Amino acid sequence: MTRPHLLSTLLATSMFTSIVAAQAPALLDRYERDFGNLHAPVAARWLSDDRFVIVESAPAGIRIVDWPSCSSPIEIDCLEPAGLDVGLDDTLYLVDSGRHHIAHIASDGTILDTIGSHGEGPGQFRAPTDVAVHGDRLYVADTGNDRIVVLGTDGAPVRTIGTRGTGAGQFRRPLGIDIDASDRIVVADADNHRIQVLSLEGKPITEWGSWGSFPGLLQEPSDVLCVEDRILVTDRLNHRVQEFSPDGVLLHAWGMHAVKPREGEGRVHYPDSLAISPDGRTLAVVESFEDRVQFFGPHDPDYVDERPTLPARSGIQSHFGPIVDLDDRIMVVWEPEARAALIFDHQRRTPIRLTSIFSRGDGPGGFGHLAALHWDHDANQLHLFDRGTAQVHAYELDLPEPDRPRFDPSMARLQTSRSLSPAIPMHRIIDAERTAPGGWLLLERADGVIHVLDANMEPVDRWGADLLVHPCAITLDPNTGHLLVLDRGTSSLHRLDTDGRPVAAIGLDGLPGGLVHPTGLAVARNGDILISDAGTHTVHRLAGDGVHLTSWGARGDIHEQFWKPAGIVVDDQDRVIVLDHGNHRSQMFDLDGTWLMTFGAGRAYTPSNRPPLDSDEQ
Amino acid sequence: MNNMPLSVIASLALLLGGCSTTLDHRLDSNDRVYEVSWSSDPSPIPVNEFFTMDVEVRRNGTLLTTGDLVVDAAMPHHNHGMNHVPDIKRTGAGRWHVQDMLFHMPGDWELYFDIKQDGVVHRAQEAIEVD
Repeated sequence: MTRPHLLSTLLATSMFTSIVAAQAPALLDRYERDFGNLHAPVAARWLSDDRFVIVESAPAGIRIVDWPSCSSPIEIDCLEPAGLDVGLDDTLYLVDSGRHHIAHIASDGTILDTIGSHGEGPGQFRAPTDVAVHGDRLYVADTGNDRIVVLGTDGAPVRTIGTRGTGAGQFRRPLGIDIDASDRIVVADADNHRIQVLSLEGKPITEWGSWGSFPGLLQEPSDVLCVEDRILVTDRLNHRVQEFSPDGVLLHAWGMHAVKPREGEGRVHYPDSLAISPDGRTLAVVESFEDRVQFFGPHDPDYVDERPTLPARSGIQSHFGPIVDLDDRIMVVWEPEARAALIFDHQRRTPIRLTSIFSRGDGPGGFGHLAALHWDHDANQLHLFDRGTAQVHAYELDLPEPDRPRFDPSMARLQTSRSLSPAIPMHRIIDAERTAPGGWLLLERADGVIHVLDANMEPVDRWGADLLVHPCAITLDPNTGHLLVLDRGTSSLHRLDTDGRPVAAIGLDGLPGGLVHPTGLAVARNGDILISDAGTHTVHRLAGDGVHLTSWGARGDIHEQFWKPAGIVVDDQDRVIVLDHGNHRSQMFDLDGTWLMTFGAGRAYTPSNRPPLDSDEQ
Repeated sequence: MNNMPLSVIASLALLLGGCSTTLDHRLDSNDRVYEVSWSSDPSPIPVNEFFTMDVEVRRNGTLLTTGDLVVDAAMPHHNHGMNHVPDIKRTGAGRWHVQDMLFHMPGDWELYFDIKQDGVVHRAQEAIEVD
């Protein structure tokens, strides 16, 4: 949509000198206030009357802010809300990534109609994530199809732009989209770590950015906002906002990496999306990870942020998660910012790190955006399923003797890095399991299917196409060989036999707090089922037949609390390890939920070694 | 014979086939599928000076007629790679010449030979101490 006239009155603002200043920009980097305690906000927009709309995703709802009052959540019938834009009549166009359509919504939450359907034809989407309204057209980041879809606001298809790839006019996971003042399409091309600019007809005009953390480089940009003569980008994994000129010259970068979770007050943490007020004097940064929206005003040249930029406590601050695998000795965790797999020996009194596998960039074996990892002790193979590069990397480890652990950066050796059959959309795979005969099961959420691969990673079957709606995790039951599939779309847990036939379905609506945003799934040796839910910040334990046994956790950052728990595993001593992703740590419990340990890449706490103040532990 | 390292099999094949290599380093890929031979000029590899490499890649003793090669290096203990992108040219079946290699600091390096064949990258690697 056309952005309001703004910022021109601010051009006299002094230069902000922290990063790069190619010219005197007007800045909106002064922290003013925030809304916290939201439920995973993903997008926001101002309406023309200055009211502010926040879209929450867990559970799905919208809030209307008429400053300073904020409405209670208004429930909306949306499976996985994503991007938002506002039409000229102040109606909302909200992407429902889970249902593969755009919901046209009145500001009271009433859905007026839906636009688009699931697929890859004209006017169809596969897990779209953002929309820009421009005149009577919608420009949609059709993320799962790696393209841009243009439609009329009546839903009539106009054109599709781009294919999957790294060339000009191609995309890998386009997450954000906007139209600039020169009528150009601007796209946050996340897995290419760049911004692409195209004409409204889809002709590539310019692009900039590549992976990295230096100013001007990008790590999985998630949104773009075009404001007059500048382009603002949420540089998500660099935890900052960067401003560029229309041709890609870096003007300013701010927000920077948070020293610790919950820091806020101008420090941003996994920024998802941006919005600007009608008068152009307030910028909103939406941070789903922090359940928060921060508001920024015009730059204050006299303000100096005296807070430290390095961790206040000793030890490596690692983002730690969100995916994990383990056997009776080794635990492997994906560290997204560093693009590293961290390998721990978890059988020591406190887990110790044996090595880290770093492999950056798009060269052979380079890591992108991991979806799953699998450690096979007998074969001495670590498989990393990489959505970003659509590759599967296989490493062997030169593990030390158990009684003589040592840290060795050279411990891992890349064996192979391979593309899968074109029939397997590796870039849409979100989880993987290895079957007893040595084959593979790969979960594709966007199409709700499980791809069955043989030991050579060749496709042999597909399961669940008529069963699954919005699956989010799979795991194998070691006792039965059954595959368990956690499905947010049907709020249930499906049990499939070794031929993929459904044998049971367990409804999960009755869980305490409901099933809101499930993220992890594991099975203990006795058949009990563990589920982590980032929406309720809880871990649930069920008997193998689905009877609820116990739940523990609440939102917070002291021990036994979680902030968006993610991967979950159970070791051979029935200890439950939960990746407490939002607190940058892992916590260990017994099956009843009794806290045993908290640990990260450079620290560990046990009941006999609690920090003096739990909140200091961060 | 089944337990014999591929590099030994390759050496036997070279001798029996009358095809020899003058390259003084020999290693197997990490998945034991390919054999890589290489030498550098100058040798040993100097610190902070450009050097060139000649590389041969064989499978079961036969030089590859297809596929491609990428050569890179890193210092895993320091978590960085080279600060130059090498220039790699194929000079014949299974043979490549590499220019613009630079180990810009002393210490423990790892040389990576990534053999790209039919959509799969197979890595061979060798630890090099430079001082």
